[in-house]
Amino acid sequence: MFLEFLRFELRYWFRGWMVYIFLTIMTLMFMAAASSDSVQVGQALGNTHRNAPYVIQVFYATAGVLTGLMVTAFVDSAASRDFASKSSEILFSKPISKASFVLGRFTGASIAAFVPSLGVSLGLLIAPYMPWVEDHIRTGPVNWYAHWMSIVIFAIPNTLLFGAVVFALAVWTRSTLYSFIGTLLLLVAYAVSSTYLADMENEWLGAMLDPLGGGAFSVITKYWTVEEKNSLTVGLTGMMLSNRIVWMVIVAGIVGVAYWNFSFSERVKRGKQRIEELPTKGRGRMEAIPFKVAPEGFARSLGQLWSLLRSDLRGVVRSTVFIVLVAAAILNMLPNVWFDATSGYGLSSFPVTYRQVENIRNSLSGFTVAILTFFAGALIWRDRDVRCNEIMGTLPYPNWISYLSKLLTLIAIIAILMMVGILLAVTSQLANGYNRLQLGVYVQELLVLDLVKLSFLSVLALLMHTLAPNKYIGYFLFIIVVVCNAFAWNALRVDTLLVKFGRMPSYIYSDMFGIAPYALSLFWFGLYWIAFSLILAWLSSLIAHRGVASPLFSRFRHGLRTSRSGSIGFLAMAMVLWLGVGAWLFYNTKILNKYLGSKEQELRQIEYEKKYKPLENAPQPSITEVRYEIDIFPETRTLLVKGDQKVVNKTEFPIDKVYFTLNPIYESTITLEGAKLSENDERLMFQVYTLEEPMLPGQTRNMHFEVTSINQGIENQVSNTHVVQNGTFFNQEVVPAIGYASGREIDNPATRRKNGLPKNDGFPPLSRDPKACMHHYVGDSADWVKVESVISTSSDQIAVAPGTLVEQWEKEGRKYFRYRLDRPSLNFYSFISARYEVVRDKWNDVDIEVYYHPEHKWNVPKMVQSIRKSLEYCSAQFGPYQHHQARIIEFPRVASFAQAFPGTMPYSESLGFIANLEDPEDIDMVYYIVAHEMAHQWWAHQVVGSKMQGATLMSETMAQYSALMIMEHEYGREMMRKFLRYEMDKYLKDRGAEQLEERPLLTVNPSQGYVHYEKGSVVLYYLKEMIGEERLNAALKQFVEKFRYKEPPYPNAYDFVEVLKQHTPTELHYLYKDLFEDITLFANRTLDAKYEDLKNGKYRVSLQVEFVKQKSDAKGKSTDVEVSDFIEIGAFAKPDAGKKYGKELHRQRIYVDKREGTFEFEVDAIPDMVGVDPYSLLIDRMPLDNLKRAVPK
Amino acid sequence: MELKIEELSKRYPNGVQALDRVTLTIPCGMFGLLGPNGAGKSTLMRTLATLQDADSGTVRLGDLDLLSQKHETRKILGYLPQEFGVYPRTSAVELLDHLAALKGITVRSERREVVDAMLERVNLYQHRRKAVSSYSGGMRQRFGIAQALLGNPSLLIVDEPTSGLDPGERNRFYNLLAEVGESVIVILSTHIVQDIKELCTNVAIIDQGRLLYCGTPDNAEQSLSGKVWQKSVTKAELESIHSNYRILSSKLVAGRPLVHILSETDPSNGFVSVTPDLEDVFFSTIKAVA
Repeated sequence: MFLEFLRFELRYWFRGWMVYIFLTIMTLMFMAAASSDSVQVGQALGNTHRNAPYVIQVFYATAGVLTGLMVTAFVDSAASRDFASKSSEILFSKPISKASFVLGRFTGASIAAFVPSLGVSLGLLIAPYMPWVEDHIRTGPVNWYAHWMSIVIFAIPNTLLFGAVVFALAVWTRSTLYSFIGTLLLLVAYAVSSTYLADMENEWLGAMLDPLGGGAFSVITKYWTVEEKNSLTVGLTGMMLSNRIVWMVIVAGIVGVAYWNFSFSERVKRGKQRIEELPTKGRGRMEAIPFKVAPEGFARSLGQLWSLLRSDLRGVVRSTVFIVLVAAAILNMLPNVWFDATSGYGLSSFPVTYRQVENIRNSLSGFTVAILTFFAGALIWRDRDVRCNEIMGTLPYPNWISYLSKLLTLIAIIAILMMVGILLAVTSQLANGYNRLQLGVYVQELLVLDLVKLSFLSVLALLMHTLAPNKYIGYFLFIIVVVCNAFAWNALRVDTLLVKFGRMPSYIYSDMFGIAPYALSLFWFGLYWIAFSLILAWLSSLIAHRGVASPLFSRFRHGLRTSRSGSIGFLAMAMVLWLGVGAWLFYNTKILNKYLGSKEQELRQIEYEKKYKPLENAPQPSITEVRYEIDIFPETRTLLVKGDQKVVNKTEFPIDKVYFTLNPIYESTITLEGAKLSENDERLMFQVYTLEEPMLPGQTRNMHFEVTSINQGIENQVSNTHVVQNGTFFNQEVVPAIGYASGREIDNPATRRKNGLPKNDGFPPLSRDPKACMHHYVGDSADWVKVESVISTSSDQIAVAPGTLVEQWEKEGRKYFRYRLDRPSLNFYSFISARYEVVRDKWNDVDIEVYYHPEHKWNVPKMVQSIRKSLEYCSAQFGPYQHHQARIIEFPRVASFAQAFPGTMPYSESLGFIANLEDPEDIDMVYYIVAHEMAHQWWAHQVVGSKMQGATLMSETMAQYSALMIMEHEYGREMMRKFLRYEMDKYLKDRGAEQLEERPLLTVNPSQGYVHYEKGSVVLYYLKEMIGEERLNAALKQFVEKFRYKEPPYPNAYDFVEVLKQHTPTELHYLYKDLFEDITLFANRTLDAKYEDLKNGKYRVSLQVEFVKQKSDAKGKSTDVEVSDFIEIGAFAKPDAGKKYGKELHRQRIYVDKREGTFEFEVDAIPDMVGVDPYSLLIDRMPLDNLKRAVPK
Repeated sequence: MELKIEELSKRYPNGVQALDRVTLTIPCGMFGLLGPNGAGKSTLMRTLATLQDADSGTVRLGDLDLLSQKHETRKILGYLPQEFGVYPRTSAVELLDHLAALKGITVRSERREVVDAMLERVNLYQHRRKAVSSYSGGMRQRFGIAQALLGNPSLLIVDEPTSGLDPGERNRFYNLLAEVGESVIVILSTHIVQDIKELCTNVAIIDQGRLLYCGTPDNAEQSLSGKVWQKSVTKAELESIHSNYRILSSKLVAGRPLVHILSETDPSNGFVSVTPDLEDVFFSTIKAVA
């Protein structure tokens, strides 16, 4: 009998269309993801094969969410079909067994629901044959085992899980709705588990909690290299197996409960009793009741509108779908607004309002669109769905009133949702002790800007349903139009927002300037779409469905025939407004301003490289001195930069042509002494000046340039976010650069391959040849320059330029400042102007200054302290500080970084200023970043590497090392253990997403942050542990002294390592090969750990250790090598309550030359964790198995 | 005030001619529209109720052109469709209040009074707070008439109002209609002859979209006077009667077929003359078409 039901169920589904439609959709989706870089599933693939086993498994894991939705459709139908179609009375009166019915149905539907998942494999298998795939080098052999394992690990269990939950809910409640809720809850669990995954400390929990198994998979594979992603498959072992077992036990439980709960009998409906008819008691009240029918006019319309609005709103708000969607939206929002997002190193930020706005926005975005889509249809078809359209159709209200009511209803429900979000966010702010609420920002961002955008969408949805002859076509039309509007324009390379329905310029809110730079654009584009929406609204009410269904054309004809003058007038007004604003915007965005789409920009980059790359090594003069005259007009966002600079021919060749690359968002003019403009490529912003008399080696010329940014009218997208009302921040890149600018080249290897550009290997190869070391890597046009600036701004702002403030005056209501660099420095500095509060301090003769937005004062004292400690440490260890000031300057969050310029460190408002440092156990992010940037004053600004691979070893890695030391002296070793764990984690993770080749530290490319920052931290800290801080710093000091502000040739990574070697005992010289020249990894672990109480207060620890040392190639392929290293073993006591690490009981360095070893030592207290490499100093992919809890013998 | 329908035609896209040049004048009072299922009654009523467009023809009420001045028409219209649903989870008071507001009664207190009175009038006052969707058929139909009567319409159109009502409810319903039928135009469509006879001063018979008869029920009956004969027969005899006479109707009375035939002369053969009733008229007109 079971087989009978199973067969019936399978026949039912496989004869229908649903299985095939879903299978096709899945196939197409994953085919697209596997064949194109613009469709991305999971994390970016970097250099991994498009059909690598890892990709197969990620796709299957991600497909779980879609599986959930499909399974709901199948299983719910199987469970409730008989009740819904009322055939239960016939069926259940037959002698059938419960077990075979329930299990037959469930199994059959689950099999049917499972089939579409196979679309993942199908999509992956056909993807390489798609005509648009050009990058065949990224297609590997088909790995059937990975397909099979993914089906076993993800597809089948996830189908069963969703199926069980939906089936249980469906047989229990006999309502589709609750099945749907069940699916939503599982998806929420999935989302919540991923927030745990983001935090290293809770990773394991997140992996177990994830019902779809993707969490466990990502924890297992997070350190996988490209090579491993291409060759390895996660099987049913370890964490993956535990996760699957946990969830399959849950499935079994749910199915059991469902089975036990299932009953064939009809359920008595609760709550719905029949109303007893009362006996008629004669005629009712008959006397005429006086009332007045309001004449046509405002009061009447308003009365009707209000009544319709109440009725529509009530209809929506009382519907179960709304309640479910809102509940799901709140569930989804809670973890986001509550936990906020961590900002690296397991650290949290203050819940500043703009962040909370983003949290609400991100967690609601799917829901608002879903709600709007669903209810636009529900509202338009509401009367027809309940069959009161004939009554409503005869009532004397005009169509536009009911249209307006529906539109307002949609807007109102979204506003309600937003307000719920705001309420949650504010509650969370207050609960976290954060009292700066900025309610105005919530209102502006969510209830004005977002709501306006969603109203456009609502207007569109209502129109589509009005055009459509029924609800389903209405939904279909709307989705098609929305999808086309979202994707088609880019594909057609149409960039103007004037045709992208409902789109407004993108903008970034900043606490410093609000949305001021964007306000004008937002206003005019908003008005433009409002006017257009009015036209659509007019059309929608003209052709409204009223009375009996009639075809679109006759509705339109009748509507036109009976239009009154008011309606035509309205249309005319809307048209005039729309065309007027449109013309104004066209003039502003197309004629007054130019806008290049991203595609066009890319094309120009490619063209620039192809055309001018040959000039890269042509001899060009260097800048030695610049005098700036800068006027900033914040109110109008105008910037005028004038400069006089001296250029010198430092080459051995005469120069007859000077090339300039201009900044595309500025107007630039150049005059060069004795030269005239001979070629002006306006499209690629490249100019050639030909000298009448060639510049001979050693000759100097004067040069003048003027660069302006005049903000005129409205732009399609605000192009210059550097010059703003409050928080102007730009650097020397605004002025013409001498020569070819390699920074303009495209990095993405796939784009390069597609456009026939050669592989970009980053910087030139590392070389000892002094001729190759003639340029440093921070800007080509200069060695060391003298800079003096006069900078002016409005009277309420402070402007800052590089160097010491020499003079300050006011003229014509504007403030002027003269700054001068204390000594020639890199041609790399910034200019800033904003309404700042300033905190000043002094360390010896150095002025410490922090310029900050008055509301962001939380971490300023910490910054001052960090500057102080950094100055102390670095000048003691590496030599004197070279400026008279050390400044931190806050800039708006149009960018989120901190950067070191000579004596000045601009620091984004979104970075350290809002970090929450209240928990003393947390890593002090602010302290760390400041220390890093301060260290750059030595490492980059005093000693700078020549422009070749390995250059950033002497700047970024050394800044990391210095910051680590400054932090260690402040916070102690334990904090460093925690910090380095995050550094190691990030290094190991990021190397798996490498686009080209992972390089060892010695030849690191500047784009490989994970090598020079994260790996650099771990390696240098380890080196310090091995040779000692003193010895290492002595070497570093020697290196700085040798190269400080030295003219070319500049130092290279070989020079650096050689200095270090001189200070290292010979037996440790092997380290330099392991740490700098190779990619070395360890997989050490403690196999066994025991201790014996010696009864004299001493304990003898014995442990057995396995040592594994590996070398990795550039693709991440590791091979074991002989161990011949000094490695530490040690033991810790049990940590005190609330502490993570226990007291160190023993630490010993031993020489290891065998794969395994047994060791014994004595300690003074009961040991807890003992093992190898106790401080995780070595790069180890499984640091957790280094230590083992010791057990008594 | 008379409602003048002239040359009204409507053909559906599927080829059905629902109205075929219907010309009709409807005076004040109760007007019955009689016809078999699918005759075009509902099309005519929906067209009058502004829910549907006609292909050609005019409908005028005084100066008002019903077909093009829909909005003006709706202001004087009360309409009870053949069947209707209501919003879920909405009480009678809520819904009626909403409809009253849409009819233009904007003063809230007045509206409340009117709604309460109307609910009392249709005897739903006790159940006014209950969801209309939980009402029984009769209650729902009374709610229907209440909403149609809201705002004192001068043109009241009720489409097949008594289908599904038990006899008691039907009577109550007719009483309500009769009360208002004195001063306004009430158009009532039905396929039940009895309804017309009891209520209407004028009647029109339509079938397959064409107007077959228009006048008072009495005149209609008189026109057949002396031409209708009846006989109680056996089932076996029916066949031969079918082929020999123009049968108007044959129904079972106490298990035996009672046949009405139309004949100018005395058919003898056991047929006796009967006074024609509206039912005979109904069948004689529609059979003439067929």
